[in-house]
Amino acid sequence: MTLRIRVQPAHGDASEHRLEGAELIVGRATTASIVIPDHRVSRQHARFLQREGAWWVEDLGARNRTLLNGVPLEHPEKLRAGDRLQVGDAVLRVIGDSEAPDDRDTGLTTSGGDRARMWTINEIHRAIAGPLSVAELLDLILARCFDVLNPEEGVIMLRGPDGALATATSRRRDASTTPVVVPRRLVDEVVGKVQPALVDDAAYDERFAGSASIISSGLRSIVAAPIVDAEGTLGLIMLCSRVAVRRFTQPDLEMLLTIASAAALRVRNLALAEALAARRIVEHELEVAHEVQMAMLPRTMPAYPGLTVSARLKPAHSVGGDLYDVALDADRLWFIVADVAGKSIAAALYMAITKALFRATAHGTADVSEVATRMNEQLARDNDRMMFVTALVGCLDLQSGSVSLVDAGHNPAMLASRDALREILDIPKGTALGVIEHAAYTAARFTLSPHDTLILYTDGLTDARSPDGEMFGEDRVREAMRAVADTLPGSLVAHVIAAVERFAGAAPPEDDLTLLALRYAPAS
Amino acid sequence: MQITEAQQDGVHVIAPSGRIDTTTVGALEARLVPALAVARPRVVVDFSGVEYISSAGLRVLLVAARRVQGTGGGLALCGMGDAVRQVFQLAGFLPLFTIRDTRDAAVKQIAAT
Repeated sequence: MTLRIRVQPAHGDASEHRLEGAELIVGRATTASIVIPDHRVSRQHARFLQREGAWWVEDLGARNRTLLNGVPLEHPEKLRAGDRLQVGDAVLRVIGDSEAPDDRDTGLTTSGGDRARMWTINEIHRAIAGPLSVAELLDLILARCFDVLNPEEGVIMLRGPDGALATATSRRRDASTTPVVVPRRLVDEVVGKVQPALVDDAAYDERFAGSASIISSGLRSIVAAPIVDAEGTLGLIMLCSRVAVRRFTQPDLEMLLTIASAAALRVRNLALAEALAARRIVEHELEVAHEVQMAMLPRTMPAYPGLTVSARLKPAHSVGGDLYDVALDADRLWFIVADVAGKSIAAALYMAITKALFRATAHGTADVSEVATRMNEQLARDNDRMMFVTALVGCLDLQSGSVSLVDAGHNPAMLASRDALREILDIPKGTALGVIEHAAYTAARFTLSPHDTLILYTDGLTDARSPDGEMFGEDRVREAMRAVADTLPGSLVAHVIAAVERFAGAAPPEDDLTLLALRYAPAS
Repeated sequence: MQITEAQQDGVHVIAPSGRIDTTTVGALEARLVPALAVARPRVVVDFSGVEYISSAGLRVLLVAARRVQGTGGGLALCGMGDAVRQVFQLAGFLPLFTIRDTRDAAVKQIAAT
């Protein structure tokens, strides 16, 4: 008995398939005999098989089980004309030989010749509209070229992001894995001049005279078409056979050109969509990294009589490298404000290491210069990428009010006192941490008076830019600090950050900005 | 950012201009890498057209300085304006580089290595 299957997908045109051979697979996979590009269809969804002169249908464990006349298929069932199968959102109707093909599809049925070709084009167009990746689309196109044009080998080459052509997919009738080579001259002809090529007999075609790669593999018939759209050449598709097996003709070339233009339409869009999706994944990972980073900042400030500390880190939109930390250790308060070079995952990891090293070294009887020296030693070890972190590392003795402060390549520390503001000038300039393995750091010592506020910040403040590109700069930073020099740390931090924000306006922040202010009036 | 390159007395001079920051530093790195990939790299980076350099830019120069070490070649910087010099100064990097005021002086220094 001969049966035909009429496939009506959820979207797009119907098609008809004659049941032939021993079995046919229905599924989303491009290797299936009847491809239904629908995400509710499993890659291998169902199978038609011929047993004892009858056709049967079997569900292949599809996620959305195949329905036969509305009933889920539990085991193979014999097919009869008029049966209705549901595969995903597509409806497959079984048609007996006595029924005339649907009027609309008379040109699209069954085997051989022009009709099979039109059917192939139709199927490719439908597949193109489906949820396929570029790789799946190309596999499908090549597979269908094999069905209709019957080559011995075929290949699709596409330009990569760097513009170089590379094999995207290839296929051989004999299923061997030998790569399919496209002769250099053919690439020049088809991609370079954007011209199709029909080479009836490569050995004698003057364009390939002397092209050893072709001659050595036997006399060949080649048909090749550029994959080209309005924006340029995307690649080429080439089919090839030994002359003794198959000679390509002008209609074959026309068929291939139609397929190539259909492919071009979709390849560009899909490639753009895939690049966009990849970028979204990276952006999402950066967001997660950023959240992890923010979670590393102290949530509350240590409480100690007479001590007021306030800090704010305003992150830029990407993963940044700023850091502050404050740790109370008996009668000492350790603090750090730091900035890792660059904005990347690498910078964020380096920042996490910096914080861990600070916590591991800044305690007990350690001296600030010793803390900086040990942090630097660790950060500089095997640092081939030359990541570095600029930092001010300090320790406040809560008994005496004396501060020791190390400058490892950072912006200057400032001291606000009543209405005056000054830079703490006598801190020896040390190299940023991570650069020189055996660098030594020397601390400056000074005593905080009850009205003094120590201010540390990162270059996110000075380097913030207005919408027309002007930098906030050192002078404006100091002006903003001086204006609120006599206020408590919390208010000082808020006002200075607000001044930077006013200046930057709608310009997106390019860098993290961090500000820490500290005041200590020992209980007398 | 624009970058011009020149050969002067056997020294490869790279002259970026504009802002060297996270978004533009890749272009500078792309010029430095091949310039440093020779047997005895002799390279001068001329900053006279540079108005700003971020820490990401400093990092690329540190990598370059490290790469030159032990090759018998040399790397010098020149033409730094106040803003650029201050970024090097703040990071404590002025002692780490050979720095000359003019391109000619820098080329002369490196050509002699």
